[in-house]
Amino acid sequence: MLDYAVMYSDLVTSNLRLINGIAIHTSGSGPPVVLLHANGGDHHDFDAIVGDLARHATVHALDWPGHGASAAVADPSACGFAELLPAILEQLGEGPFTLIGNSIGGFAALRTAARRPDLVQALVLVNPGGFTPRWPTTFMACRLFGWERFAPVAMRMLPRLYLRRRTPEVGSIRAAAVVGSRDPARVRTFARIWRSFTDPDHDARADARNVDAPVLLIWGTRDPILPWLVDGRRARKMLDRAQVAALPCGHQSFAELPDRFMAEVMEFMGWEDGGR
Amino acid sequence: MRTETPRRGPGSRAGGNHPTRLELLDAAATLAGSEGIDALTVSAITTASGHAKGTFYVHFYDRSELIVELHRQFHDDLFAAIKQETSTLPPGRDRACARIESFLDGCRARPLVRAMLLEARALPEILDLVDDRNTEAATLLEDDLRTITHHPRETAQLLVSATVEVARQELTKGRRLPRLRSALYELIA
Repeated sequence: MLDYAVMYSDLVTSNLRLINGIAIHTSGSGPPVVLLHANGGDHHDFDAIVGDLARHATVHALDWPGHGASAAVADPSACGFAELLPAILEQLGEGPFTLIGNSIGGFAALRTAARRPDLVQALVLVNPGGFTPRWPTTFMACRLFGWERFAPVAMRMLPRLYLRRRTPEVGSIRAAAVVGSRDPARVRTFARIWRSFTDPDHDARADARNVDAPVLLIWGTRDPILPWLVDGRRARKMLDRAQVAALPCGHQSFAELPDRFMAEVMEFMGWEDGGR
Repeated sequence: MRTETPRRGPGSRAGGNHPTRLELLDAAATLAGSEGIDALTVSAITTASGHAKGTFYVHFYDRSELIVELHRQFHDDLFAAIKQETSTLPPGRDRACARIESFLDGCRARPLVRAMLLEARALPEILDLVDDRNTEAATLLEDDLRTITHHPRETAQLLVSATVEVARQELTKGRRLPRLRSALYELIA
């Protein structure tokens, strides 16, 4: 018998769960994939690729605390989110997972892969954080974007600055950032995370050496926040066994060049196109 | 609907879950999703599903009955997904927003939505069904709005119309419109 759910929707089922106050949006069926968005975004950042991914995998797109539909936490930080992730994966069950992480999500994914290898099958890192050199300019940027009076401006400005291609999804992400910048709770979370980037523990280099899982490193070469020639070079050096793809776009290649992003992921995961 | 009394003649000879009927519906959904309601002719559907034209009339009285069935299935599926998605949330403004968000996201994920939301609404045979669906959606939202407004039912009806308008604009623009969604939620702030 034909399945009507399949007939009407590419996303076979869509389901919202709250695990420890963290919203997980699940769709599709197959091996489990977890999507981890960047600071200031939400699970909608991945909208351009979720449909394609859901044809091959069970996609869990989460909202970090204080983002999207998730409850805020008192002290959000990059390292805090990285420590949170294994517990979420354990509660999701049916691992090991393929983690697709962007920016702070990439950092959390990498740390989880290094410290809890049993939970991670493969890693796709999209302009991950944690490879930024500790230069005075880094501290200045983190202080500036972490200043709560400037943070609303930064929230609106950054997606305009670091998303370099105009796709419909990019338009949505920029508009969502404007909406978020008017919410004091969102702004506070955004600012605190920026301040947490100066934490000496926010360093992915040691973790990168300890990762056994296969890694696909996708870097948008026009990203001004995590530049390809600085952060990208350091990431490649530390993740010497990783498969590397440099795409001509900004911080979020899955929204800016979804087709090329998916082609890289499909090849990496060994998925067949299925004639679509 | 023509199902009150068993009748003889076209559309009466096979059961609701007959595999051929489902194949015809499947082909119709694919066609409507890719080319719109106007492309949905009996010959196009039978060609796409590989059945003879006469077979169509074994399962459906006419094209209208098929469109009504598509509309029903589309909304059943969408509403079931919304209910499932928000089943764990307590009644209140947050659940209302989650349900609206779920409807809008659901619309974006379904290829058939353009045909159902933009084109089918203008068809006379669908008009009553649209009203029924709006009432159903308003009833769902009503529970959530009791603590917010003195007129939960009326507010829910207005909210449903506004939500459909947002979905329609998102369809036309071909992307999510976060500012419009935010404005919608602020209506019940």
